Amino acid sequence: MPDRLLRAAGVVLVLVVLGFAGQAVAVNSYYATVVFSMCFWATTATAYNLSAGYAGELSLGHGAFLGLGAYSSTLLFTRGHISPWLGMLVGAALASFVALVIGVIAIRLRGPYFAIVTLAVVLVFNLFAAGLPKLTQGAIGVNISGKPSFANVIFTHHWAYVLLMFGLLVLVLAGLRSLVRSRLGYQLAAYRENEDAARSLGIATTRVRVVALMVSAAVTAVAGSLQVQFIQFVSPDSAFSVGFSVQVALMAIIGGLGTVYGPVLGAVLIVYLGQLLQPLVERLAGLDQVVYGAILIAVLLFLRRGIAGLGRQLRLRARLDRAWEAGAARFATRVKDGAS
Amino acid sequence: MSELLAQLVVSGVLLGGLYALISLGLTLVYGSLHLINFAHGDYLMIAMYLAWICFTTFHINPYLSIVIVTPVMFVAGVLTYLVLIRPVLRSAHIVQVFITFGLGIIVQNVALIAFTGEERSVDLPIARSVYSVGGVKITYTALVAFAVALAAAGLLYLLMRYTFLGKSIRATGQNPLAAQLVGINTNVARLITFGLSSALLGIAGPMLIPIYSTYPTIGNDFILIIFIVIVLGGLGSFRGAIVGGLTIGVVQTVSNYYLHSPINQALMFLLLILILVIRPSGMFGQARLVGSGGR
Repeated sequence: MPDRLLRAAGVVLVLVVLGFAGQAVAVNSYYATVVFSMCFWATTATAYNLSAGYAGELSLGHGAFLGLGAYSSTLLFTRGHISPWLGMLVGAALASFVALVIGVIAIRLRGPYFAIVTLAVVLVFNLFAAGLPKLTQGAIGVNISGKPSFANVIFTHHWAYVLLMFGLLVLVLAGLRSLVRSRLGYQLAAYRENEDAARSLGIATTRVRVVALMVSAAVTAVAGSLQVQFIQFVSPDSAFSVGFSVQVALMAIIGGLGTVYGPVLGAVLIVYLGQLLQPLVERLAGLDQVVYGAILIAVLLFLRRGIAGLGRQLRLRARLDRAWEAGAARFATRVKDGAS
Repeated sequence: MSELLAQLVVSGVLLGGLYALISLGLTLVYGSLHLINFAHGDYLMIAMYLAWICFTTFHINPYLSIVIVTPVMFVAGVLTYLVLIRPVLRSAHIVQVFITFGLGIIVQNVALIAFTGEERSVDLPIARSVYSVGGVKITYTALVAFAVALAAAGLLYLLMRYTFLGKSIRATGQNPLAAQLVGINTNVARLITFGLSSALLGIAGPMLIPIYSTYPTIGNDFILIIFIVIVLGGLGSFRGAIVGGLTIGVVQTVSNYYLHSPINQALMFLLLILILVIRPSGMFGQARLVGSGGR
């Protein structure tokens, strides 16, 4: 019961924030930026959750997928005048392909080594993007400019981007919800519970996990494309970013890996906290990161399933306590009976 | 030409000695706790700032400040173990990785708040002296750093090989249950391992500060090279850290001279990926990297 309540509370919180901000969006682009940022991080954290939470892949390389999406749509548009809608699909395909390669060669590695490999993958992409200025304009980055139109994915109103990103988030969440209850979802659950048992039942755990990584990569790439259309700028350090890879993992973990809505909660919470801390950060740069790091560590130490799992954790504790008390009471009566 | 190559190789070996010293701590912790400390580079950053504070505030020569920085770093390591590492020793990999990652984020940004992002360096007059041996130039700072790194590695080797403490640390890594059965306090062994790992950085930091200036994110730059070193050498291997450190020092110095571009660095990371995929245990590794339960 508390679990369901907490989940509902989370959804309501998101709706309230969105509703409140939705009113302000039309008049204030600042709120649009904040809400866009919430939706962007919620989408990418959900994608991260699919690979880390459901498929048990300790990735520090989601920046590579983000960057592939961002650079694909940008370069195809600025150089080939190809609509970013198409570029988005190309980016998603490329990101899935890279995920496939990573999966095939590295998924057998245990957690921390998989993390190091994926970290190295982001850096390789970052350095190549910076080192091939003829293709990418190097470390300076690329500005996106064009006539505002639907085909160009350039809009005069910020809320158009917000709506697109929000739409992607809803789509991704709906997808994850049905995936959890699908064949793939159950296969992943079987893998998480006991890999050897899952394999003995004929589940190709490696293939299932690679597929999850590919889907996660594609979603991250599309979010990356939408984000650069919004910012209208991309550079190696903003796209192929270790910082993004860490931040997205942090939000997903704080919200709760392996829960459908947890990462959304984590993303909204961290972006909101970032806004609260903004005035302080202007005087003390880095303060926000200290707070995030502290929350991350606290969650890892005390909340195994993040904030979203808090309800279940409390319920389990309560049940355990009740069982203990009932047992103690039974024992007490038996002692009394024996004594009399 | 050959003189130039000799120069590059000598510079590379001197640099590699420092890489080896920094890698030893990471590999030591891996060997005994089976955990990769992603904040290792950030603790090096702390040690460098400590040496810098000793110099600018108390006018203590960096080579002398080792006696202060090393024990302080040992205590920092022990406290870190007690507060953050011991509770997660049996946790999933993802918890262990992100605990140390979160620690790194906090340490980096506290340094940013305390010291700003400005680069801090120590200017020693003696740092400018250069020796020339048969046409090969050797800077004083690099030579001292190399000698100290060598001495520290030697001492660590003797400690691990011949003392009861060293044996109990190795036994804890090999089979904690059996170690406990023969009366080794594995908890203390792990605690001291983590402290030692940090103390080695307390030696490396003061050696580095006359050569490199320090800044809050310097740990990121080092940790990536150190990953390449220990993956090449083999995780958990003492020999691997030394040989890997020297190799990467030379490879980096030579390749930086001939190919000066980000692509060169990218090739180093491709090398890292390749080693992990083709021979995950590196040159001397005893590590079990592949297998079921890869979380």
